[in-house]
Amino acid sequence: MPDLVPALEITNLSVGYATEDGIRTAVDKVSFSIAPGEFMGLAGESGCGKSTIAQSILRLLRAPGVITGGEIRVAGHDMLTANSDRVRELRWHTASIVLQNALTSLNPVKRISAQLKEVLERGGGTKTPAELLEMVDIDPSRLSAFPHELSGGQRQRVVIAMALALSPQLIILDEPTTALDVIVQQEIFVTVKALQKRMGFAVLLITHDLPLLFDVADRIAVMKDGKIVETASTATFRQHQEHPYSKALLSATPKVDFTISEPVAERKPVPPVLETHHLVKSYGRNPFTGSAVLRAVDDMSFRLAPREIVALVGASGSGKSTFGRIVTGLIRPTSGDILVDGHTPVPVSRRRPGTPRAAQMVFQDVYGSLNPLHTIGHHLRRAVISAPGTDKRDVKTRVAALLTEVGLTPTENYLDRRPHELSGGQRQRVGLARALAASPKLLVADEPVSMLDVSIRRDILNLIARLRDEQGVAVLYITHDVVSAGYIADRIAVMHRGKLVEEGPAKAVLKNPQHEYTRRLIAAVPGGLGLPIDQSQVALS
Amino acid sequence: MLYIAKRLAFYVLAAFVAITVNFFLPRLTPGDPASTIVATYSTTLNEESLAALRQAYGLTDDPLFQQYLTYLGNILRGDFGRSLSNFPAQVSDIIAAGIGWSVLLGLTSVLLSFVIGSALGALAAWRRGGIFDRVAPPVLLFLGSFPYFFLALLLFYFFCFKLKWFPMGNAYSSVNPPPFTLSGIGDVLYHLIAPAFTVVLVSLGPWTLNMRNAMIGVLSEDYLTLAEAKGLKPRRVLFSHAVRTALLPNVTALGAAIGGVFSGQLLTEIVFTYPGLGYSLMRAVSAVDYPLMQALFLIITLSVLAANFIVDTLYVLLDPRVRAGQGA
Repeated sequence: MPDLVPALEITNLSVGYATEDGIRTAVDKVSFSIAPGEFMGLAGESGCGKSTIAQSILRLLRAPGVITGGEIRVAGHDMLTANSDRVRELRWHTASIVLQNALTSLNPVKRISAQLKEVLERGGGTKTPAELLEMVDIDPSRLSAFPHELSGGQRQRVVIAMALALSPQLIILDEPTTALDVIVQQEIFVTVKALQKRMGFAVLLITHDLPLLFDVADRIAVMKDGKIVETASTATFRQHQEHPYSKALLSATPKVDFTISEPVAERKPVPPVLETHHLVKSYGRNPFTGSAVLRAVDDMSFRLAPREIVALVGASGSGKSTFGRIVTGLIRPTSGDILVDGHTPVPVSRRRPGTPRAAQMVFQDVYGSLNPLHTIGHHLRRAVISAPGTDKRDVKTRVAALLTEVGLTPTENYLDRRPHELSGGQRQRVGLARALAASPKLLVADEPVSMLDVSIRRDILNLIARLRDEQGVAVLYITHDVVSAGYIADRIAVMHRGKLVEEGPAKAVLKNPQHEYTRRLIAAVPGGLGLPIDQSQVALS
Repeated sequence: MLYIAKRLAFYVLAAFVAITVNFFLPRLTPGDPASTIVATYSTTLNEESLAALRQAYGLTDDPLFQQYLTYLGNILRGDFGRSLSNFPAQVSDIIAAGIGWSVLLGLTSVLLSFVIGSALGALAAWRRGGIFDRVAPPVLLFLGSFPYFFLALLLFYFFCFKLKWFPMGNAYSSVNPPPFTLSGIGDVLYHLIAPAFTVVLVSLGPWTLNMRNAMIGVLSEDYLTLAEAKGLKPRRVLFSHAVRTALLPNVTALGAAIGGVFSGQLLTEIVFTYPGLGYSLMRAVSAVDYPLMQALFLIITLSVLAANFIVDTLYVLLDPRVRAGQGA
């Protein structure tokens, strides 16, 4: 009765990382099992040990990671006592894995056909590479393509096809769509669910995104600090969360509250803080026709009033970040007019100390946007000193005031710390303080929370909203996440392929999207927006 | 294909610039070498010989531009004029006699150090932190810190002079180049060992270190984890995925190394009196043989360009991302 053997059975698994002070436990006596054909979700924040479990299952854990105890059985095979040849034999035949980063999980210098064949050559597969591609809805003529010739979503599909090549009983999906857009994410999961129905494999989906699990998983386990704090069927979990951490995790996800009606915008004829007319940014030029190869921003006419938060929503590659960079003067438009606080943005290279900066940037990458060699105090002092109209004697008080504004108190605790001593959320607060140093009229926040853990995203969004209320700064919030846009923004503008396709009051756009693309974007949001969505809208053809 | 055509056009342009500089530079300096030499002989030679000498140098009263065109034409026909030190031998003949040996020694040593160095580097990274990884890089760097000629002298003294394991010089035993037979080839290889070994020993360090570093980067990539997860044999993961990708930076370096063959092994050739271009260059310099020198400089420049073009082309085959024209 092979069907009664669980696809995965983990008993008392403990995994640690060897450090100078002995072994630091990352996974602490975790036990769970997955039935054949079951879709199990494992949710938790970064550092909770969920990916460590994924790697332990296939014995992929590298030094300094060590499995310190417990048992792992994949389809009845003991993975921990087997010798390495046996483990290699079991890999992919019993369980396969899809890694988070679709862009780097295929070898860039080998054709995808070769990378698929490599697996099939191990024997046991019944499909040809072409059939595998067809299975995940990729044209088999793309077999001879190299990974960089495929989109991120297509690459992840290739990896999924690869994972299914030897018909394993279990597939581990380790944050497979975190780097992808919601629409692509939805399409991939529609494919995975359909294949699962047909082939009957079990899935372990590891993610930080609880609403996504509500949509796809049969059962959900929540992990915190190396322990599983709660396991329940999705239906039960949705209604009631046993553990306070599960509740916290769920409530941390921003939701759009449609019960609060939007304040009627004052229609005073104030000059806008940002205004563009037919703004175009194009890249590359065809040598024969002179036409642009790519129009990243295509004829954008846009206004942003003082004290207004506008979310610029779009998929990656829609041109929204390019627009933000033009606004802050980081790049120059090809044609069209742009006025920030009544002036054309000064290119960064021609900026001198004292030049007014009406628009300031808050970056997505909280790890890369602060120089690791300098202290927080240094970062802020530099920003304050170069701001226009600064009295050199006030620098210290101004830095302290900025830290207080972004909630990093007591301030003297932070001045001498370096970025690596701060959490991601604290770093983004420093990023906000730095942007505020020049007393800008407009903050351009480019995906400020997408790299942060779910539980602190809402805090940062709330902080941005509070800064608007207290400082009167306008915010251009650039994001791919419609939910957070609806949560924070007064107005939403949707960009698609460089063009502005829809614009309006936030909740009106979300409730009643006019453009086809906006509708698809909203329908793809896992768990919905917090309002009943017509199910026919969600189902994909 | 378009990419290769673009690169080719670039290299043709670069070669043209090199030839032009090579022509104008000696002529722009006051008291250019050719007329200096003619002037030195002007008292001792009769009018007729002087005229002949001028002609041999291509030293005419034509306008500079006219001379330049003549020079370009001569180069296209492979005519570099006559050598002074071996008068009246054609410079092109002297070069033709030496270039084969230089290419043989250069390619052998560079390819050997490329292959051995990359293999050692891959091994060190694969068993990172192992004994080999801890011992090999410092030892190789120590060897690499020797100047070529010093190590060459050392090896020459012990292996050729004291132990007499290897011949004391030249590229073959007989007076004339050996026939293309098994024993002839063996004789050539026997003479090749000592100088090639010197060059390999000195240049091994960077190849090993670069390969090791590239490998360590590649080994942490997701596609390596995936290759391992796919249950591929470790040997296959190593060669088909890790080495295949990590080799790319070394291939770039190979272009520079092959281009530098003639200048790099110059001293080695001199120590082992190996009859290559480096040896010819030394003789040309000591005999103030300007036509030969000028031709040798040109050959060195052109060989750098040619080698780089070959590597560029090779790169297109090895790295598909270049084909799309994104970076190099």
